[in-house]
Amino acid sequence: MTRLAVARKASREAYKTLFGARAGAMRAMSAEAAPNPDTVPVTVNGQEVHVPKGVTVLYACEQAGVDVPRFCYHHKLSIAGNCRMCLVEVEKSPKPVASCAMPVMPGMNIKTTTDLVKKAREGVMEFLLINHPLDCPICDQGGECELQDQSYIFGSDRSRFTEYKRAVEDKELGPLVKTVMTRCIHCTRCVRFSTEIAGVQDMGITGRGNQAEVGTYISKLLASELSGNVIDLCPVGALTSKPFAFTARSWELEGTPSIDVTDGLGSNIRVDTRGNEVMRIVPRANEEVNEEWISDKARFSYDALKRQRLDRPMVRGSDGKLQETSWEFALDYVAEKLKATEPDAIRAVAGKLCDAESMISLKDMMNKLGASHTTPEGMANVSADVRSSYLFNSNLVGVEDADYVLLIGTNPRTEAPVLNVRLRRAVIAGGATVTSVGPNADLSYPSTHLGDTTATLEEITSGKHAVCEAIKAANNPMVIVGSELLRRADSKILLKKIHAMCDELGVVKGDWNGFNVLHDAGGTVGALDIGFVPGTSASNDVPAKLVYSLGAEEFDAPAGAFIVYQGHHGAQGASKADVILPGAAYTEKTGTYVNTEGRAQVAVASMGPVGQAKEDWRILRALSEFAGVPLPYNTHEQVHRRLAEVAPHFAKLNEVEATLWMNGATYAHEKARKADASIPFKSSVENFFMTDVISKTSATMAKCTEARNEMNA
Amino acid sequence: MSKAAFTGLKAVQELRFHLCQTSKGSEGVRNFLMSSYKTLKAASPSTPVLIRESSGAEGKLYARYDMGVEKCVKLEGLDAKGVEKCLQDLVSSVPK
Repeated sequence: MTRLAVARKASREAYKTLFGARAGAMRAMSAEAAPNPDTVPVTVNGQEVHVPKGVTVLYACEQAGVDVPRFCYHHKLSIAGNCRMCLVEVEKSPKPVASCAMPVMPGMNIKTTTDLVKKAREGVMEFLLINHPLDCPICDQGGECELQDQSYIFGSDRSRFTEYKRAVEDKELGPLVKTVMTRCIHCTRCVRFSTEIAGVQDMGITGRGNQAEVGTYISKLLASELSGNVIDLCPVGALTSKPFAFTARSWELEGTPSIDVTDGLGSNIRVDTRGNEVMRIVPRANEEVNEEWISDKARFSYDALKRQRLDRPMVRGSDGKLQETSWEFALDYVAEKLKATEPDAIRAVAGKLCDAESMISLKDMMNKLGASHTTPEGMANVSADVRSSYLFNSNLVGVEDADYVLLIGTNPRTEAPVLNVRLRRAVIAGGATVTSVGPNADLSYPSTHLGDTTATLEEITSGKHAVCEAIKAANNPMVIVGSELLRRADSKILLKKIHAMCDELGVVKGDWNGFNVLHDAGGTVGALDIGFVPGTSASNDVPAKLVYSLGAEEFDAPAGAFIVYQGHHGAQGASKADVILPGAAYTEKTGTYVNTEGRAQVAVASMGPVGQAKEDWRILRALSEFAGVPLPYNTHEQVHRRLAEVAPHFAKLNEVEATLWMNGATYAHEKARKADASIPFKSSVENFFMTDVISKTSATMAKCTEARNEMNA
Repeated sequence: MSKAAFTGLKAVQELRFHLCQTSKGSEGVRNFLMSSYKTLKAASPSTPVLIRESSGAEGKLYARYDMGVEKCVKLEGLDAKGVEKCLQDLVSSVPK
């Protein structure tokens, strides 16, 4: 084994023994925890620190608060040790050492400020700049480029190089990632990311020496749902965002912390705006949710925020066409209809991208009017009683502890690509087994497909299938139920069986709850948490005469029913409406979203709504006044307090509450009936790039769909 | 406990239990739910019985009646019998 490989292995094992499989925890660990038999003392620039055995010199430096420049090293990727920028001096070592790849030894004396180190880094920088073009003024990475920043410190003010610079042909990686390969410094972060994290073996290095090139060898697009992350990883401007190209400079942008709603994970994002325009979306690090990654849909569907927007209130005129109107007229019109309709004939449907604030406002208003038929879009059949029956109970980080995973009716790669990263890690690093009843898809790691019929599932739930023994034998078995299963008419029958199986086979035992539901949109869990479900008196016996759609695209409305659509995009839902009340998209309102594990997080408004549109809960607050049932809250704080009154976990933002498992009581009252065997299990996401009204409107997502279809054709 | 104990439940639009997963004060609520959730649902399958847990939350029961009227009783420190009594009081005292 080479020295590098030894160092890599040693440091990985040291992390594992000390911090378990969750490598992220290591940064939180304080070096002051010594004396501990598992730590070693080292000196960094004269300061003694205690670090875990087997970690790298670079890690020791970070613990001592000393910054070490680097290009190839990234704490989420394996160690490459090829950029040589992190050279430091170690006493008694004849040469400077690459700190990212060198394990610490007890008593090591590390120096980072000596002339030797300075000279070594300046040398490395000079070599890197030999072939790096001087195009910073027109480079999209300018202003946030690691090479640019470090060349201010270690770069020379003049070149000793007189030959022509090397030029490399650009690679075509698809509609999302723009390449300028001449700028590449061969750090291989993108190669390691695609291979290790995304699990696609597309990228690599061809050629050697001066001829080395990073690329896909055979020209093809990066077939990953996470490809946009290579843009963040690239320390230079070789890989940049194609949709963002030449639209803004990084220093003009204002970043706002927000939450992604395009899948159920609630990935933490930063929305970069210039004026009243979203310029790009990038991830924020949150080890417990999305680590440092976001899916391509979360990152690139923002162009839809400027297309097909509903920006003024509209009313369908006598000629059957939607006509502009004033807020006052529209609200008055809707209020009159609400008052004139008998409460039992009113329906309210909450779309899958809604924030909890607007949903509670709608629910409270409907309840005050005497109407109780409120349903979340597509989830009319789901019981909201017990949180553990619709949440991801093992938590997202818990996935990495699992040693057996049974997927039921879900394809995590398309439904939640960032979660799939953790599943992949559980399989590749943790040795977990993944089996699937449902779509037979390439998950980017080995998995066994058991079938896609209810018969297969029933065989497992009744304990007759061969995998039952394996589930029973596992320490931390996990069942992941896809949201499509919840949308089935027979979902309760199936869930009753799955719940019973979880108790039977030890999927839920002691502190471990391995029953998980993976939701596919940002607003669904919030709707269930606040109880946006039909009340006791709700029934379908009285046909609907008024349907209030809060951003819902697909809802049942009999012909002749009066339809109110409150939302941000003119699509399927709005086209049916008699009145349109323009609302705000998720980047334009401060709202609470609950992710699939039950974590309530707040997205801050990065800009105002477009045109005359308003924040959604404010529209409902105003409408309630018109309808004569004023809601008892006037500020965002007051709505949030109401949310906490409905469900106390809303008061604990960013935290996950352990859920109560009802030991089989959840579905005990359901009568045992036969599941519908004619419908096979499938994923809720057929085309990853187009799942909701925003991504369906996005031109970038349309291009991705086309490129993916061409590749598969 | 029989279904009959909760016959009035149909007059209630929605029940919401707040409780802590581990605290002593919520123990009665937890015990009540574990033993009687089934009976509640059997008495009125269409009534949502929302069980909302949060660490450190005070045991509470909200009942929502028609026209959005809500009533709340504290369940902190009560045993399962006491919780049942509170629930029956709420169910039987439907505001006109």
